[in-house]
Amino acid sequence: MKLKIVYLLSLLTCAGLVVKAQTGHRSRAIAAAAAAAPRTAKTILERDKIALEKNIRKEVLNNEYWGQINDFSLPVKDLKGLRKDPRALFKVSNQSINDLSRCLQKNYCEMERKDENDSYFDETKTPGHILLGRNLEILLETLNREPDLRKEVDWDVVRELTESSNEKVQVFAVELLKKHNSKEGTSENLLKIADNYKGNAKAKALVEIAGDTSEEAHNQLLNSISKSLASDDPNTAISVMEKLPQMHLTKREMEMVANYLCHYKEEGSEEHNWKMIKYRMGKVQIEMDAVCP
Amino acid sequence: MEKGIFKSCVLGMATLALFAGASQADERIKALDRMMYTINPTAKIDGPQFHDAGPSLEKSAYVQQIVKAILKEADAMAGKYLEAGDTQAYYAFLTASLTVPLHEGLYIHFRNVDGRVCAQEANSGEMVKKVNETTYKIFAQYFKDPKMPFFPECSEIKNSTGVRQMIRGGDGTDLSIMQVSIRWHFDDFLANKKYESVARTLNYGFGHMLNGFDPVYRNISNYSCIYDRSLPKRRVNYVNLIKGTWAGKYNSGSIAQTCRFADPNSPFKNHDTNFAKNLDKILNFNGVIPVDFIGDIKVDGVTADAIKEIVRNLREYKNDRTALNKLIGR
Repeated sequence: MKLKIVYLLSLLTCAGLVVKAQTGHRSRAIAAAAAAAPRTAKTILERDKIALEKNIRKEVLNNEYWGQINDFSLPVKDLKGLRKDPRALFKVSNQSINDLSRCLQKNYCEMERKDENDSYFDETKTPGHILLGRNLEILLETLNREPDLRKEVDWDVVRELTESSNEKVQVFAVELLKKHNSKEGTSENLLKIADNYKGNAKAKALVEIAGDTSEEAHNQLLNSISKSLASDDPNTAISVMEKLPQMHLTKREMEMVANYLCHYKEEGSEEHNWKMIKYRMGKVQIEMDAVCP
Repeated sequence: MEKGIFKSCVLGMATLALFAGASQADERIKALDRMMYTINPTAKIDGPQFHDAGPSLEKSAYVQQIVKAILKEADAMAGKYLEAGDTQAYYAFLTASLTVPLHEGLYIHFRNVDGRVCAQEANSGEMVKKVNETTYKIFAQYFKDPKMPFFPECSEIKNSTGVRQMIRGGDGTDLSIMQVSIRWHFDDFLANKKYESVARTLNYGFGHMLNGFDPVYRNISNYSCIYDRSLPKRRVNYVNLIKGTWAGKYNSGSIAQTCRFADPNSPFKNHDTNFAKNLDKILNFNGVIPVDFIGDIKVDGVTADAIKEIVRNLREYKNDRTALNKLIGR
């Protein structure tokens, strides 16, 4: 009986708490419902289109390839447009990159907004960023097939995108410059850009930049790697170290850059990072205790 | 999160109901009806299905299957730490991996249930429509394919036995045992239909978790809520690393929020308090896992031994893993 009473009291208290907790939520929902027309699937999509039209030109939104571009279940390499008419696909992606890069800085292209009641908000990976990354990948693929289209790319925009907060966008922008802009895509210039990157973005960008056959470019790459391992934050340095096997270095060069990791052995607070460094470098036959006696 | 209070209350009531002797072993847990999308009966899915109306032995067997799947995926993801000799980081990640799906998805991904349980508001997309237009568009694109909608209209589901469902969040925008947001993770999790498989869902969720774990752990001295430089040794608080990984990247979408759990003025304090309660269920595991809404589930045999080994190794800086190796076949 006692338990039943406790149970009933708990029920009443909880009902009160739930109503209280949901008040803010409910008032927002009521306000939204009062302001909006009936929300059918059609009106939602129409409203979404209107919001996008403010940010992305109509000819892009009405383009026959826009649906494919937005269908992430289709890998870029399998897009019909890429086989059928890469020039047309290039055109729509090129235009949407210009529009997206502008509106993302303004208001996330009205595709996302931060709500103080939502705990989750990744400002570096909103739906607009994801769509921008996808379009950059498409641009890269179409340019690989139709290199003469390079002259139609707004390279100022691509250069700006190297400073994006989104890792994928950063790396695709570097790759585009390297492969399709001989003036700005020099190793020296790209390494300057990558020097400001952090974490995986830096590691992936260095992999893209690596592979230049000129001796000068290779030496510049070695300098950048060494600098990163010596003075970047541990997360960036370890991310770069993990990608070393993809950077076309000789064993001797690996040993040389590995020297710049020795400070992790000396710093007591970095014991856990030193374990990972030893493990990863051991996988490429570099004995770190021998490199850093 | 408003649902945090609701969750705690229902848990409290469920516990009281259990103490009062209410036997619900043969009835479905109706609270779960409100947390599910109903899956197209013809869709292919892969992984264990939870029968809440089944006997307790069956529930135990189910949880043991889920724990095994969790530990296999977590081991694959964090094995690099074990192989590097950093067992503390490895066992911290495994402990986090046991906690997050318990906290996020009640250890349920698929549910198999009898009854007219399909919720039209959820399956039609009306529910997510109320939240955000972009989210509705994503929902419609990936789940309402006219040829084979993964979540069809309820009127199209004729059967009332063996109905298969997938767990969702209160407003429909989070999905799966890992409560992955369809609004933020459509380009891979939805596009590649990872939600159709328990293992692939866990793999995706743990990958997201590792994206918060690795950068924080490597730059640990920047996080005073996890790293105490005044200590002569063992400066990393691995339990706080778990809390920070969840509060930061996983629940906030940003590692800048890692120390949110230690902020007494955080507007999301109840999120972190509830997570800590679920973490305690793993850290204090003694053969029973109390799952919110569902109640106590007994775990025994090699699965129980593996969980105990993980926690003991984490707490005592050890690496005894006979049961764990046996369970995951390492």
